[in-house]
Amino acid sequence: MARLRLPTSLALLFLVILAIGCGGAGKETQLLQSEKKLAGMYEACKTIKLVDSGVTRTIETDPLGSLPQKEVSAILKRSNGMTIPGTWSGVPLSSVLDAQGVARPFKELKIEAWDGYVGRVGYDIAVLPDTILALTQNKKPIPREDGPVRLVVASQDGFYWVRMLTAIEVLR
Amino acid sequence: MLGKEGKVKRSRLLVYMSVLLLLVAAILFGLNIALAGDVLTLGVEDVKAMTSSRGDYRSINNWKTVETTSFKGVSVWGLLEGCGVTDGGASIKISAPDGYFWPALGTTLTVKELKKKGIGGLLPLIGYEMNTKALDPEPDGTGPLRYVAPQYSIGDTNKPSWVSNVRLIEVGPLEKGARPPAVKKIPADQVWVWGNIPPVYPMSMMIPLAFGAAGLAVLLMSLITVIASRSSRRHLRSAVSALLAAFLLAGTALALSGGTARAQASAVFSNGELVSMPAFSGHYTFLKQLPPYSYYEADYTGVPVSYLVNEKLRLAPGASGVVVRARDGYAATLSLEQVNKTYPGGLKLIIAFAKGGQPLAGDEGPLRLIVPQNKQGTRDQGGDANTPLCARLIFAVEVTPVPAGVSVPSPGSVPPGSLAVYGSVTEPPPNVTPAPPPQAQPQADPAQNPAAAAPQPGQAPVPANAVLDLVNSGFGGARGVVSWVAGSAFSLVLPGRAGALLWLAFHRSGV
Repeated sequence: MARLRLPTSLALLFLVILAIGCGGAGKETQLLQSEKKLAGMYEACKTIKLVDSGVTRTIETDPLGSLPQKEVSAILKRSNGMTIPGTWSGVPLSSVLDAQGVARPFKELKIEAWDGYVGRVGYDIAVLPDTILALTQNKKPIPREDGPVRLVVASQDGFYWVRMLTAIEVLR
Repeated sequence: MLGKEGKVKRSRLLVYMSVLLLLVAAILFGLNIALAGDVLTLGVEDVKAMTSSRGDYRSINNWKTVETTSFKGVSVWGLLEGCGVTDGGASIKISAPDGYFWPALGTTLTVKELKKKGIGGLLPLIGYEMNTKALDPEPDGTGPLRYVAPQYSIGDTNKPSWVSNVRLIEVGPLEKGARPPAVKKIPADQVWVWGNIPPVYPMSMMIPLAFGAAGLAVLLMSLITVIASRSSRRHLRSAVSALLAAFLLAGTALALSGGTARAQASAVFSNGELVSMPAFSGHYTFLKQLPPYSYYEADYTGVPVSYLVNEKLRLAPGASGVVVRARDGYAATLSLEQVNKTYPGGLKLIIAFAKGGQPLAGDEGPLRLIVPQNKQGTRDQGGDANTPLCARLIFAVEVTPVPAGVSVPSPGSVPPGSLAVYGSVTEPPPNVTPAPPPQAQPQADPAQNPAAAAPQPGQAPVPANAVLDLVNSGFGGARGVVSWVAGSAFSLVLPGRAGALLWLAFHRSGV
């Protein structure tokens, strides 16, 4: 009798242990709430505020795709030394500013991001042909968490490459 | 009452049962190791439950923008200590799912540096609250956990060191070929601590242990039954299998206890410790290698390297040589023979801390390697040039080869005057009194060399210690054999990673 029962009871015990082991699986993350905020950011960044000599204008990012595109192969160098080579394409910042009637020269641009980050781009760098408002990264739309457009400054390190761009102020 | 036949049946059944239980214990143990492995999974809630601190962190970014942000979180080293990281020299890497990490490429960040307080007495933090609000996770936020570091000087550009969305903390030194978990796959509400941390035994580990204990109990019962009944061949066989099972169980227990002994930090001897070791003083001769082949003589006092690697520590099997490293990057490579031999005039190869009874001057000390001439004398007298090996500004003695997983100390991590000894060395067996110190060189005059009169413990081991030595070495040997055989058995029985990990655990128990 005991011989018959032993394997059965052991198998049962094994199953119980398995069940206990599987209990902790399948936790949910709190990303959903964050996704809502991300969508809000993306919408907000579709319109970039342009302030020049006290006059506020807006740059709509949706029509930028139909303007002449410039492709830039560059290496994004982040502050910890890591490098991300890639191809970005979009509209040169200088032609966007020209189309908005921003008079040249100016001293620098104060470039603000949705999360409060601020970059300052001098005139010489701002008008370079490979300083662009990028719409694509490696032939694909730039990652959604970077916003609809991203500033790509091929000649400079990553801290110039402002993500979630919301406002540009022209300082003279 | 059972007949003889019944007793035999019962004892056999008991043995089968115990073996089965032990097997289940072993399998569960293996599975658990495979599941838990070397990753410690912490939930954000776990981090929040730890001792927290709050501080106003001043930051400067690449744009020279100065900000002050209030953070609440846990100190990084406190968190690591909670994970069982005790090695101050362990290198740390903090990573986020977007690929960002700190320290910057080509630099290191050690636990010791994480213990260093910055401006305002602030420590590097794994923060979860910014300006009294919980940090949001990405894609739009910097949380739920964020690494923030204080400034160490007022002009520090420290913002690039901050890491948003911390998911993985790697603890070095890593074994060769070790691959960290993919950061992107770590859930947003967790942080994983991975690498050279003690093996992780979750509560579920109690289940295989319970099985093991039950197995042992049944085994004891069967042994009693066997002993109680008269011996026969069958009983003998039962006893042998029972013993084998006990052997496996002992191996499991040893793996559990030994597995916690991870790669140790190199031994670092402070200047005080060095000076109180059995010192050797001698009148050394020096010949330079290049014209004009200067020759000079001087009295030096120090610790024989042979004492450090043979008695204070022990050479590991496979140790092939010694590299003595200087703070300026200079390294002197020595053979074990050079280290151990006695040179003409009874001189020893030493790490000197005193010259003519005075501490070494700053340009050559606090520590200098002194390698005696193989043949004393000037170039004309046929002496050999020994000064190239007499490296100044010594901070470390490396015994080659350096096994994977051993911290290689940097000059900055060893305080001036201290000496790190690392590589193919092991701790001596516990409670073993080092063998008698090397005799001071007879030419040395204690009056001229006060350091030569440094305390020199017992000239010969007292009998009680000899017995202790024997017991210790005997125990160590038996433990080694048991865990080695059991480890091999497990690695054969258990497939794939579980077996490999178990083997690793045995290996790390110092066997």
